[in-house]
Amino acid sequence: MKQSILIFKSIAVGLCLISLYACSLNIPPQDQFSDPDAITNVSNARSLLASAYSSFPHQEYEFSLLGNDFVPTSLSIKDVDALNLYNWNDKEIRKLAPSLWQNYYNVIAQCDGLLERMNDVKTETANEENEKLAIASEAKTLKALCYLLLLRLFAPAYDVNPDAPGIILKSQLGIEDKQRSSIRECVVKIKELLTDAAQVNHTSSRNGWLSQEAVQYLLADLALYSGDYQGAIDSGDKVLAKSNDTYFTAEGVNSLWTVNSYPGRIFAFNIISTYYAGIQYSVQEGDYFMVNPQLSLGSSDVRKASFTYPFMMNGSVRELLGKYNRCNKLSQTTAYINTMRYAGAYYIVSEAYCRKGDTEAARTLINHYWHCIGVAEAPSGLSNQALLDLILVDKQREFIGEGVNFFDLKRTHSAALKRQSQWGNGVAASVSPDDYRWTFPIPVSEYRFNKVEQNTGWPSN
Amino acid sequence: MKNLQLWCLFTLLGLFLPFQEVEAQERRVYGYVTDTDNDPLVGVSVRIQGTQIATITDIKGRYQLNGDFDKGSVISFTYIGFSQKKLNYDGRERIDVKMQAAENRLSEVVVKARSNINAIDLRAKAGIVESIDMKRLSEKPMIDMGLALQGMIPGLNVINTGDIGSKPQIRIRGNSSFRRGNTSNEPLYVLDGKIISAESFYNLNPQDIASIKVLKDAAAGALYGIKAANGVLEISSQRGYKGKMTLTYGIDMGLTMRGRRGVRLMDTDEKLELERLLQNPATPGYRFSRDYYERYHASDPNKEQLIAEGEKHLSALRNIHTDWFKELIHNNFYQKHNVSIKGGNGNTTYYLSGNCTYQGGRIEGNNKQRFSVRMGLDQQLGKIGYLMIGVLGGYAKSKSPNGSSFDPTSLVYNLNPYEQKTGELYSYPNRTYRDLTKQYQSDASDKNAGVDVNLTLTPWKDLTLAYIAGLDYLQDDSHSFTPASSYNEQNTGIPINARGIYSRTKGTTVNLSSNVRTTYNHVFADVHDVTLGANFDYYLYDYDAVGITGYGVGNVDAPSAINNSLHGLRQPSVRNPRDKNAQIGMGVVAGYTYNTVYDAYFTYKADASSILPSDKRWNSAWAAGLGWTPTNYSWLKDNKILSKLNMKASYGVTANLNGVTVSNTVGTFMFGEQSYENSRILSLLSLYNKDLRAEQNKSTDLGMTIEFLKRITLDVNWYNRRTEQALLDVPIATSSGFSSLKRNIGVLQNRGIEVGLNAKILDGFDCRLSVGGNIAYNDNKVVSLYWTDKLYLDEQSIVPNYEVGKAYDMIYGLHSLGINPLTGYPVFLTPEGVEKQGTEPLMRSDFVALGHQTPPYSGSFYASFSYKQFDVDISFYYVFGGKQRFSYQYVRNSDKAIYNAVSGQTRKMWFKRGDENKEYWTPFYTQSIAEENLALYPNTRTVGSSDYIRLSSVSLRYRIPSNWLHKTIPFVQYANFGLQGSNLFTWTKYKESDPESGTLAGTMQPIFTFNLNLTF
Repeated sequence: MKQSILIFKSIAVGLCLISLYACSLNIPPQDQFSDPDAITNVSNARSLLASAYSSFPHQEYEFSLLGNDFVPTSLSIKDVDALNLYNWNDKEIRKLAPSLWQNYYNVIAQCDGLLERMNDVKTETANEENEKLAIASEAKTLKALCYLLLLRLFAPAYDVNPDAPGIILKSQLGIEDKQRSSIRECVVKIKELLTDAAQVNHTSSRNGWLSQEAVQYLLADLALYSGDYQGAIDSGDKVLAKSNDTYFTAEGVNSLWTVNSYPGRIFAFNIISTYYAGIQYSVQEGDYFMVNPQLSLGSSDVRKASFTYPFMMNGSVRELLGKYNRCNKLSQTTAYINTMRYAGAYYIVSEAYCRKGDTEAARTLINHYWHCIGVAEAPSGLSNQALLDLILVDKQREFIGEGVNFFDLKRTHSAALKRQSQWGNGVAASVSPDDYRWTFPIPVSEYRFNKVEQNTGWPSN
Repeated sequence: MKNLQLWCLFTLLGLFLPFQEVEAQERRVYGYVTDTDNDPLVGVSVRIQGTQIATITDIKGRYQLNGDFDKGSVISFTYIGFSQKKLNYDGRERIDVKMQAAENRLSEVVVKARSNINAIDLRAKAGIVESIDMKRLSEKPMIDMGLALQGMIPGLNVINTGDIGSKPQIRIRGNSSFRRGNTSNEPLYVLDGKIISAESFYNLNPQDIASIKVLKDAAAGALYGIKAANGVLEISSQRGYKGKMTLTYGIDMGLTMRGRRGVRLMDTDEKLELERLLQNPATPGYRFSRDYYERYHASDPNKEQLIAEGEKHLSALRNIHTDWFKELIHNNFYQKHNVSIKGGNGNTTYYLSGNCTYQGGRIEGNNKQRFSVRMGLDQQLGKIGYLMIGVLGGYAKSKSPNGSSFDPTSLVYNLNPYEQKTGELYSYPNRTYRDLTKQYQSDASDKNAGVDVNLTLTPWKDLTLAYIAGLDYLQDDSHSFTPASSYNEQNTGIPINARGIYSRTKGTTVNLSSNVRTTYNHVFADVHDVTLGANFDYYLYDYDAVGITGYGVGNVDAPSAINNSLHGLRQPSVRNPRDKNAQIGMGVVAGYTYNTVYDAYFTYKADASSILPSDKRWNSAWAAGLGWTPTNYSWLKDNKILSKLNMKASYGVTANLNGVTVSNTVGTFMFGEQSYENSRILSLLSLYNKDLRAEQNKSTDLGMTIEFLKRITLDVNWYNRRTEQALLDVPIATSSGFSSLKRNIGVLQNRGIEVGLNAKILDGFDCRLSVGGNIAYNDNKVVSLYWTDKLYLDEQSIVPNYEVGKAYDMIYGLHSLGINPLTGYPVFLTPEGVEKQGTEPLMRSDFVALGHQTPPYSGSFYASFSYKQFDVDISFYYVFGGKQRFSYQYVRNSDKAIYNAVSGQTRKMWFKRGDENKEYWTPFYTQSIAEENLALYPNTRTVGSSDYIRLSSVSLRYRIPSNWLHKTIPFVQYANFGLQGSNLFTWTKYKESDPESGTLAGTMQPIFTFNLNLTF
């Protein structure tokens, strides 16, 4: 009897001890990947890079409002915020600046996060190794693109004072208390990133990935920005070498707004959501803004059909923006936001020739493009300045609504920007080339938590 | 209302009279059962041997028996863990009994089993453990257990946040974290030793609960480790008893009332006059007025005729007086049925119960219902062990028509008194009343099931091994539907084929807990009582849900109607939130008591959580406490005047990781729903903080209990809890690419005192009166913000969210001097004493702290009176010291003139230059800075004190005499019935909606029920 009680007791205690079963705490998050095992293969690295691409902010409409692309319509008053932005209202710019700042830096942070983890990415085949190199190269290019845009927005024009504060150059993902580097240092850094990226020769059949041509295009753009005209010509020429005149036919130009990848684009952001819907008030009544009448395209211009959208508003036919807006009106899907295309390289290189004083080279080059697209060629004997003006105005036509003009105006700072009244019938106000608003305000969070210097003219309380 | 209550009372009194007459001569006895330390023993079985006359002791240890028994009958007292006590009935009416713990008797081992194995006696000697009065709780007709706890225990703060079904805010001794919301601040809920979710707790049936203990301080909660950082609510369910099977049926039938009206709105005449003054042509009061025709038809030859027609139109409207509060806010029903069976024999006891409850809301479409069943089976395992098995299942469903963009309660305040349920509305142009209802419907249901097994073994004398394993399974289903016909869908430019929103989420939660505890207790040399223990626990949480949101469903409330061809913002989406984590804890506990006078207690627990990387996984909680009970000195023992004096002090440190996820500490990536080119998107969830540490709650507690004459008890507890390394998502420089980061940012302190006084004024067999009250004061203060003294969470904000030296929920605003008669906007007084016009931009330095949002003082008082068969219980709950901002949404400016307005607005509003001493600013939007200043920030005149006193429960019961029952309906053993009410009335100075929730929708509903309980 005693024996059996002892056995029973021992079994009971034993059972209790067994219940201390091996409880493991190494439970991976269920639908998430955590370091150090998160980014260890090229597929996940590519997916993280895809996230960086898709986080890129698209404020092309807002930049176009700030530039000289549009004039108000009778409906503008219904979108007071957009109208205020068109009129360079301080408050509206202060609303726009923080989101741009954070969104570009968010793309940079994702690129940094990816680049920091590239060493842990294991590859097995040569293809995977190439893909790994391509991913790193693209991440650097994308980062450079963000830095360049930040610099253009938040620092004054390069030639005003290259030693003025530029932007914050990050060295890693996370919080750092770094101050703004000078514009010159920023340019050096961007160039370094691009030169690095250029070491990897890679192309892609899809427009959404940054290829070698995109790197060269950006190098050319950066060189033009920083007054390095020979640099712009050298890099630009590499891009133009890949150009094909069939891109400049009516069909070729039209293909820029279609849903499929197209070799006529050097780089375009792939999107799924709607794009450029903000300009339209309603399909029946029209848009808040129309194309600046001074930018009217000639009837022989092959771009006219897709770049503009004639529409009856207030009893007259008005030239509304075509491009993505036209797709929206025709219920066509937009899958790509054109960011770099060969036409752009023509403008960059020909402007660089002009600036360098080589008017004839500039004229020959740009006339080739104009000839292709049906624009009257520049006559020989045209003065350097007159040709430059022609090039810049046509560049504005080419990129109307794509947010390029604002940056060109800021870079050239040669004339006051006119703010027009309804339909472009008169000048309501003008923004002088040295107005403080050309340089966007540093967001409150940045000077509040990082004690960064504010740009002249903006409050820093 | 009051007359009705009085009438009911007298009618019932009348009903009881016949029973009084038939009451026969009978013997009666009552008394209190305590342990050797004079602490009441709850649930002791008291029985007259050889008869069916039996009862169990209540929360105060009181028993009361009456019936036909002789002098010399044996009364037996039995209680688990205590040796049975038998007494001969000597004719005395009051017999108090002291029971001896069983172990003290030599050579006999008795198992002390508890459903909560962490509920060891020891901790109460040094820590603050308070029990909820279950009788009062179960007599409070409310569907929501969480809300029913309001006012039950000082320092257990319960705040209602909205309409029924919405989660209350339950805090023990204030918010211990900078982080707001329930995740980081809610106590831990433990039912019979297993951890349950807050939702499962809210849906518990009070009748199934034997006791709820509130563990307030670190010393009491430390056994639960870091999970107990915000305190613990420890619930023990009802169990069976040894004896004949009894079946109890209880029914509550009642009404839920409309509740407070909040603000009184205008009647027709005043509203039409206001409209005329506000000059908005969309309103009939202006559109048909002489003013309008004089202005817009000044040169019209038919002007006089138009004016006459307008007047005719207005006089037609003047005949309509709709009170939308009465039209829209309903009385509703409350009902509850409860059946329970308990009994047992030999070594087995059982408890079975089922209940269903329904509570209707104030507005159509808002209600909550609940069903639950529960079973408990206890088995004595010979001399060495005890086994308890519990099974429960439940279903709860709540419905609400209040959505993020539509709130039917607001119609009460928007519809005009001259509008009716038929015809087009002025307040909602182009719509009729029919178009306003059925805008949105959401419902949420929970189905839960649980099982727990509790094994207690005493293989050797003095050593107890206890093991509990529990599985809690919860399936939650939430669904919301916005029909295409709703106003928002129709009028915000959504294409026809994309209108109508259907959303549904179905999730399952599994909580698995297991806990092994071993305790050694021995008394050496009769004076040294030593306890040593250790435990190991494991807790697994697994959540898996699938959710869909689709658009274009039209008016069809079904997923099959989703338009899958939509793109962009209205693209259908599928979510699959999943979460799985586990925690392991190991702890030790030691206690020593010398001669029942001195107590010392120490506990240490280390917990590891899978959500943190392995190097940061382990966090600890420890506590130490001392207790002193001078009344146990032999020279003071049995002192008639000072019957009890106990003092205790403790200190403890508990780490808190609630609300911290893996993505806060290491880079964590998640695949998104969309893709870029041919690649899926894998994005970084948030910026991570490699230096993140657990919050440290350091709490110091002092407590004292004094009892005089065994009748008057005074409890005083003081606490100081510092939360160091407090975590918060703080804004960071956005050049990091992110706007916030979870960081350890500062020190928050909750300091307070709780005082409770209870007195048994009359204590006889027939007549009992006890009264009591308590007050809790909580002083919440930000002690330090490590690198700044003011913290702003929004970069645009000019008012700090947290400030050193101020409470975490301080309302900041401006000191207003009143409305400037010239501008119609207020004039502010800055802290420097400078006057500032409301039309000027404000600076940070202009703001002052206006008050706390959470009232620092709260408490309750009660009285309970029994006379013969009658029981009357009444309790009040009060808060004071808090401020709540007026929303002023019912004060209409010219643009909002189409909606009804607060009564008196015409008189109190500034309309033109020279209007002096006005309360409301100009209704005409004349200056944007001033409008923004007023919209964004409160001022001294737009906040009000949120003090209130609430009649939280009233119960009037009558127990039908057992003699009469035995003669008339012999199969009924006990019967009682009564009237019960909860939250019947709220007295407050607060001028607006609801001082508690601050919303128009969320007033606690008064409920009034008739209750009948029968035991067979």
